[in-house]
Amino acid sequence: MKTLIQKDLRENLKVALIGLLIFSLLLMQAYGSCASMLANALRGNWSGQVNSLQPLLSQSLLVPAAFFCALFGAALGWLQTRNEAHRDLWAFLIHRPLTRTEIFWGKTVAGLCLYVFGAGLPVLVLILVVRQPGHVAAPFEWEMTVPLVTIFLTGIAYYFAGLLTGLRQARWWVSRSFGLGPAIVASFGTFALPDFWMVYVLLLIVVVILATAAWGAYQSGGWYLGQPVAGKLALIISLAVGCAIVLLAGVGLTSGLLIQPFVKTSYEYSYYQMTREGEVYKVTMRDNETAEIVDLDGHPLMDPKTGQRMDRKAFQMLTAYGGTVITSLDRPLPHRNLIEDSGRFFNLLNITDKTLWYLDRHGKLVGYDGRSRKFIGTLEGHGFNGVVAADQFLLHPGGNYYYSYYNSYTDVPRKMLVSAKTVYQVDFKERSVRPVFTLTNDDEIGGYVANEVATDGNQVKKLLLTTRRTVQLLDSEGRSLLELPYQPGFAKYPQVELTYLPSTNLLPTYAVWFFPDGELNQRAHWTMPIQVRWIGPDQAITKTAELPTLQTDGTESWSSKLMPALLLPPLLHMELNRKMVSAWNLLNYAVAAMLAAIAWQLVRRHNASVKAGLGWTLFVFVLGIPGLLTLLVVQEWPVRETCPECQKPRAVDREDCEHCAATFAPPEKNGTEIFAPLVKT
Amino acid sequence: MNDDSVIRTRGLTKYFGRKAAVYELDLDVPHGCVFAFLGRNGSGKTTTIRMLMGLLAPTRGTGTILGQNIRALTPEIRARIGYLTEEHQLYGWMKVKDCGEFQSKFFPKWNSKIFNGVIGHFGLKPAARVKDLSRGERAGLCLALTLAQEPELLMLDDPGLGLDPVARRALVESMIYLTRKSDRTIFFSSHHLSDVERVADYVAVFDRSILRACCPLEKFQDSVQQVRLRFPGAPPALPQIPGLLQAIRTDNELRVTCVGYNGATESILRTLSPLELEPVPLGLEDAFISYLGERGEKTFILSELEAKA
Repeated sequence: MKTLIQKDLRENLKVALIGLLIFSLLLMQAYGSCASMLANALRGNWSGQVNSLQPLLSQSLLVPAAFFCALFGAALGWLQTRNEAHRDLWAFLIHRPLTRTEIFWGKTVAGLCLYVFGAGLPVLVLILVVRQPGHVAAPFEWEMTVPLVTIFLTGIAYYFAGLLTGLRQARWWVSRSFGLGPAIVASFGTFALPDFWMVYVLLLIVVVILATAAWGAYQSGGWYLGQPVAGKLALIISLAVGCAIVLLAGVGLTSGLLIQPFVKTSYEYSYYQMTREGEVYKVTMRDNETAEIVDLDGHPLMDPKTGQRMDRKAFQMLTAYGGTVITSLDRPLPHRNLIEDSGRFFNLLNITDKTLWYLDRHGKLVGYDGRSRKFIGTLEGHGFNGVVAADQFLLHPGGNYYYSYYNSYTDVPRKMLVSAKTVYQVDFKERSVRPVFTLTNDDEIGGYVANEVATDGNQVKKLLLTTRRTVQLLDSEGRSLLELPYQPGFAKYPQVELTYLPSTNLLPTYAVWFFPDGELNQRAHWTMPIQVRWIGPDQAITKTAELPTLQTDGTESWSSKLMPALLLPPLLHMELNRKMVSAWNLLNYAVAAMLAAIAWQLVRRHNASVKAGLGWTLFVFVLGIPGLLTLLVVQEWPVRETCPECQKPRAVDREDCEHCAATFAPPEKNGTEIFAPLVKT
Repeated sequence: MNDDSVIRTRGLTKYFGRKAAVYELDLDVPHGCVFAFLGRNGSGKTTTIRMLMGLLAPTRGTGTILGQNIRALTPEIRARIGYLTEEHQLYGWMKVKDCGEFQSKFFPKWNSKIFNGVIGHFGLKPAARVKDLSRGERAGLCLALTLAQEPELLMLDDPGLGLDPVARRALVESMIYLTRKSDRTIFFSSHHLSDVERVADYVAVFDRSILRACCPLEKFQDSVQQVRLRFPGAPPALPQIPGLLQAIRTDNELRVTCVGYNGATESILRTLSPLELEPVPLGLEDAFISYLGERGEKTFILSELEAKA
């Protein structure tokens, strides 16, 4: 096997070298774009994704890397088999005292070594460069390498898919590439699954399936028949996924080009909005146009100037504004997938005097010199490079994850940051941290947001924060402007909105909204109301209201129901409809049953066993059209010819007729046969 | 049925689409012989060899090679079989000596002397790259790679293809050398009947996917016979003759080629009252061409041809 590995390494080294070159250039280009992002940031004219400053997390690196690893892996696998596609060269390879499994593993080991060389080496070099102080002016942690390493590993799935594509013999030439389906699913998983362990589990499953399918193809020279059972199963799964993707793409295109332009779909949603007088109105939007603005009794809001119904533009002039806090106490982070996850490592807070200040995920303010790109120190509760362990700053201001991901940079010399107990005034210019407010009891801060509020013509910075027990509003010096109990509690109502209402007698008034948790509310069938409190100048609650949750009402056309009912597998359709019995589900079952019957007919007609027939029938019933497509793509149908005995069509791959058990006739004699015993003299 | 068979097939059949490339092949190849597998292009020779080598799954039927099912050849059995493919494909980037080194790592009985001897015989430079070799040189290299394995059974798919007469003679000499060792069997397909005549013990002839002849070489030659009949004028219509392959009518002559010519055949021909009836000796090539050529009667009577024109 060693010799075979050496042969394959030598044979495909050129491909790996080309891959290495292309990938290195790609990574260098992405690294360079991160460097120019930094230069722009230092010039003060930058806004963009925070993670662009760390190449390992930058989408401008991860997305091209994902494409490259997929293409390179698939090309390497495909070329490794296509080089020996000529039947005589294939025979030269196969006819040697090795099992086909040994030959397969020999080639695979070589292929994977070349993949690691072509795609892994540039990744490793990039990680080492980025890790080296002075190269990237952003925090580095080993965990940041996970997205890129995952993308690199996904290429292995493509490698096996490429092997399978190169090997597979198929009646429909295009269907050879359907084996790429599981690898494409792994790629989507890399970007969409909520946690990396899930990605790795998916990747492991996909690699095992594709490797088994490729191994099976090696056993039979690429044909379905003649493969071991494991190979057949893996091939069926791989091609089923490929068929489903092709079907989805086909339906998407058909729907987009042929159906959607002619079918009108309507979409409607409503929300509440409060005027500066503290009145609540329900605004309903239909197809992105304002359909109506009504009060809570359902009366339309009239424009006093025109006497007509008020339009949205005029209504906006009347509405009050405020700030929203999501209390993230006792809650896991909302997203941890590849794209969203990159933002959880750090958040760029400020650039002052060419120093970039990041709030890292450990709650520390870390500074990097923009010119030398080196770490310069931390700003903590005890000042610059404080030696005493300080409070950790809370990471996601307002609990809104988006802000840690996208950063619009403004050169603000001071900023308020919050730890679990304390509100700090951070001065980046002076590199100082000053506590302005501290919780004195055993309470804990759960979320905060800083707002610029216009009060009597002045812009005043205020901080809205929620704790386990209270909702508080502070001014920039930490003085309490409002404090009220957190009722009905953050566990069920994590989102709090404070609406600033115009002052009366120079004393401000507010309205506080408590929004129920979306998931809990859905489970309660949207019965949890939105709770609103109006706060008077003396901080007393003057009024309360419970507003019903407004559900999105998407009215879908019959075509948007019909297509899934016809095309989706029953299991998926049922999951989407969330009802066992409905008219569309019944139609879906009927279609699946019809397809299963077709599958049974096809398989039995071509002489498969009852066991195989039942297996395929069940498979097609469960998977629907993708299942039937898979059957047509996978199965090799034997030719049928008329039996001279019973005149029925019989399969030529049987030793006798399946109808009358007549054997095949020996070749017809024409009187010129010359046969004699072969006895060596 | 021969218990000493190296290759045995029963009802071996292969379909490509609706076409049967090999149909119901029953074959027994005895141990220690040189077995020639003949037939026109597309008659099923290569398909049969590829099935026997376990490279192509039969549509139905069974087969064994060195006692093992052709659908599941083990590495041990493969080590005992030398296989030379039809188009002499090798890795173009390898050098001649690399090919030898590569193969030597796999085959336990590898004989470097044979390898070097054969490549020397074909005038191949060890440092030459395969992609730079001519077709004949590549055939020579493939032969060297096959022979150096010292196989018990040698499967050669048209080994003379692309070889010049000198190289072909070298190949034949190699085959004769190999069969000197009595435990060797050579199974080869070829279109070069002079080579077949020189080395083969037995021949099997394929005609349009069907095995029509399988016998000792001499038997084949003896079975295909030609007689010339002279007439005073245009030959009369030919009656039904068993085993008729060809009948060529000229102005006053009729040449009849048939299988199994005997007294009964002669009696039928005598009913035509020829002036003269004499046998015409046929070489293997003529016999083979007659056997696989167009069947039936052909007319070359000048007056009739002119009339048609």
